[in-house]
Amino acid sequence: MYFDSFEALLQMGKHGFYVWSAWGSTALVLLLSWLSARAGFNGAARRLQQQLLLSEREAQQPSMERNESP
Amino acid sequence: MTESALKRLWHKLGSPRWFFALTTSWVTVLGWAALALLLWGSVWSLAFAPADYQQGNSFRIMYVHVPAAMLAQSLYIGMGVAGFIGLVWRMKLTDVAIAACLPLGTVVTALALFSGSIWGRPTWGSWWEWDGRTVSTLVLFFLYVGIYALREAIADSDLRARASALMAMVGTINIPIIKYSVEWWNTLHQPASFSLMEKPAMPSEMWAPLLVMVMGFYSFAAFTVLLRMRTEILHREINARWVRDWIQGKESH
Repeated sequence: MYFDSFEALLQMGKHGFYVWSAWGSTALVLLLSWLSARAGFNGAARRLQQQLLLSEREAQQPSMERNESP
Repeated sequence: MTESALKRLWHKLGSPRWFFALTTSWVTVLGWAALALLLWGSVWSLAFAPADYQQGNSFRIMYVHVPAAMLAQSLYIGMGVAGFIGLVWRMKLTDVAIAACLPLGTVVTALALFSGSIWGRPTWGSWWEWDGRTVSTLVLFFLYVGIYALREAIADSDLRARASALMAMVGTINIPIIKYSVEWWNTLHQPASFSLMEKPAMPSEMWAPLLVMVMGFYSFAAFTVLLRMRTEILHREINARWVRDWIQGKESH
């Protein structure tokens, strides 16, 4: 390791605040980008599943209107 | 390859169904590759790379700033190329690609500006400089936001696709301006850290971790863009037979 201790790594000379805030914001941006992309995909798949289930139920149980119509 | 085989491949490339099937395994591989590269690159850049003799440890901001700035421009170029193909060949997938590149492109451009500003404080003594590189990158951010606003404002999907393709294409004029800004105008901004043609000015202990970080950022971008494209395809092809088959296959697993 380039630094003598873990404290030295955190302090980064006098530049700890700058280095860690730049790296922290990067980690946050990447993490949120991943979570939002994943949530989008899972949400779309879930909605499709529900839609499919609904249409299957409708196909199995013909509506009352259709049964009663002459 | 014969001309007809090339034509078939071109048509296949435009098929959402084929694209969806092809990218299933890619997403997993790219996701894990991005995670591994970013973790490896982070530990290397932060704890093992030597400090700069002039800038000290603040130069470690470069390892996130440079990949973010490169990605911001690459994603925009990707949107411009997709826009061109979409306008000329009316390929459905190109608008899906533009929609998928937009969110990450916007946030990494903001990240490049933000990390640059943080780096500027200890290096230039100022959070912001109105110089060519920073201003042209700010324009890039506004272009991303502009396409976002345009897409939100137009309800008709064909018109939305054509308008955003055109804006993405026209906006690529800003990319060479960003690239050459450090040569055309007097600037505080340092010249490019990486070049395809020349040997880096930095020693290898400094540029090798940067290379790993750049590869990590690009794998991450490919991963999220593909994932978003797949999401968009599911939305658009909701009534297609193959989407229903895919969902049923997913249920049975």
